[in-house]
Amino acid sequence: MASFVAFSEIVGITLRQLMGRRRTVWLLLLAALPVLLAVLFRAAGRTEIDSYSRIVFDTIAITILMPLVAILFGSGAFGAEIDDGTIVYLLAKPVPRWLVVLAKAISVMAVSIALAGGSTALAGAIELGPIGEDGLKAAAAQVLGVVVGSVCYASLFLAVSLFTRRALVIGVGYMLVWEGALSFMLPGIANLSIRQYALGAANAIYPLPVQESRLSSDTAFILAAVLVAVTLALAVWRLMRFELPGGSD
Amino acid sequence: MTAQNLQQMGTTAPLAASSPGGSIYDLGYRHYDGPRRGRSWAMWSLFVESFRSVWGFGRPMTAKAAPFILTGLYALPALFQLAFSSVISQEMTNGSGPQPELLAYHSYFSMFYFLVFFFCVAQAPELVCRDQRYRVLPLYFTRSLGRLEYALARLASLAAALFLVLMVPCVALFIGDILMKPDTFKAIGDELPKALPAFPANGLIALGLAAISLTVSSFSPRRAYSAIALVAYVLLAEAVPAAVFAIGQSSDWSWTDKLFLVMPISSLDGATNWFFGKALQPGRFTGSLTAEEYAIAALISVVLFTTVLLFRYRRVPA
Repeated sequence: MASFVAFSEIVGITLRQLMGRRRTVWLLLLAALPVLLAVLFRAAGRTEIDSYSRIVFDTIAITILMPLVAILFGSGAFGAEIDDGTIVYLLAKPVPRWLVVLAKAISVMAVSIALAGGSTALAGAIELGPIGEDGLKAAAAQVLGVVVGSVCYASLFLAVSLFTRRALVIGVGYMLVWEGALSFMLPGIANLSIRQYALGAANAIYPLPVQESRLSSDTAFILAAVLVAVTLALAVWRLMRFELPGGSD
Repeated sequence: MTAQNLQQMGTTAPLAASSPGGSIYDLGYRHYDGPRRGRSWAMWSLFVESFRSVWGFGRPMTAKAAPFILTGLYALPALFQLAFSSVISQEMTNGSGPQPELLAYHSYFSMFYFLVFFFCVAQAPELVCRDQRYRVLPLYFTRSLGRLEYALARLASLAAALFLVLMVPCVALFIGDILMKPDTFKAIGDELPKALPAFPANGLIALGLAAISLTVSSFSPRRAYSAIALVAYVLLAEAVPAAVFAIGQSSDWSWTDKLFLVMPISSLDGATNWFFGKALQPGRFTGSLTAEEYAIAALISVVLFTTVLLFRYRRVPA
């Protein structure tokens, strides 16, 4: 019971830390973009799964919106506390470290899914809803892809932010170099690319017509689960041995 | 204390009468009586200091890694062509087999622009964020350097650094092309008119990228947030016009291709084609815009972003 109280307490604090900033406004604007484009699609009188998936989902929702949101929140959950020094108060409490990591991870995932997934769902409902069953399936597949991708990104950069203070920069580099440039040049990277996990997971519901989807849905789910488990375990391991910055002075 | 008293103090202080230093609180310290070089000298000093810090001079080795590696990677394809220029020229004179596709001055940036963009993402926040984060801007502004001069000096130094990055492969291509020809002096005469537009073209690219990246970076004191904001801005400004154009293609919206003018990278790329007098490659540019319009758009964006930068520095908390 006591641990549940601590858990919900940490979740509440983290949510407040993550949302109560000026950057939330910018992220909301960013999340509004797919919805605006979906409205534009309707204004042009077009309801097509194919071109919508390519133009809005592939190039904006899953390549720009989802990674940016999840990297910012994922690296901010512990990063902000380490920068402020308030992590001392968190670690001084008699709460098991795995519970701290779990609470942080769940709140980060919740916020990322709410923003990126919510935006994708709304845009999908506007554009693909009128098509009927196929459209709804495609929209659901897109949301599932974004959810899987957000969870992977969030847990990965939650862990990275405990190892280095430059998690955000590493995140931008990963997003641009690894996901952007290299995964197009070297197809073998597909097994190590969160974007591919997301696209593969989406295939479980509906085969989205996006380019470069290389993984089957089963492989994607397994790899994503392994990634989340390993990164969260690493985060717990790191937090159990955490040295406060500047402690040796 | 009356004004008369103040005046008296001013005149009775031994050094205050002859020096331009403050005379109200003259505590008797020795005054600076060396040459005062004024605003332009201060700007020049800041320019030099910024230029050094873009390349990581005066900083640890880790700070030098990003700029030098990115410059090297950007120049690498051109250096390869230079290194193998004799092999290439042999193949060309033999005329046997497929003619090798050579790198050209006008399309080099459009092929490898992302490395120059990474350079901006890595180094622009370096120039403007630290000063805001550690609140040392007042130390600059108490000198003869004003807020606008500070911003302009930083902008000029980033643009100069980018110009250098962009020119290295062009020079390598130039030397390689000369070495491929049998008659060196004739080759220089032939090649020079083809290569010279690289100066204004790369100058415009450098200014455009510097203005955008420095302006976006200056809005946050944290380097990481600046970098992420810059990436988000450039990616979206490239992706959204393309998306809107693709949406409007089947339903005859004629205005959608005008949005291409706000694309930061593509407009610079189109402007480069204009400087070299080349037609826009149909694979990369769709829509009805001409290279000339891209060049004008790129110039306007330089002016616009510089204005925003100066506006930001008028009111940045110092």
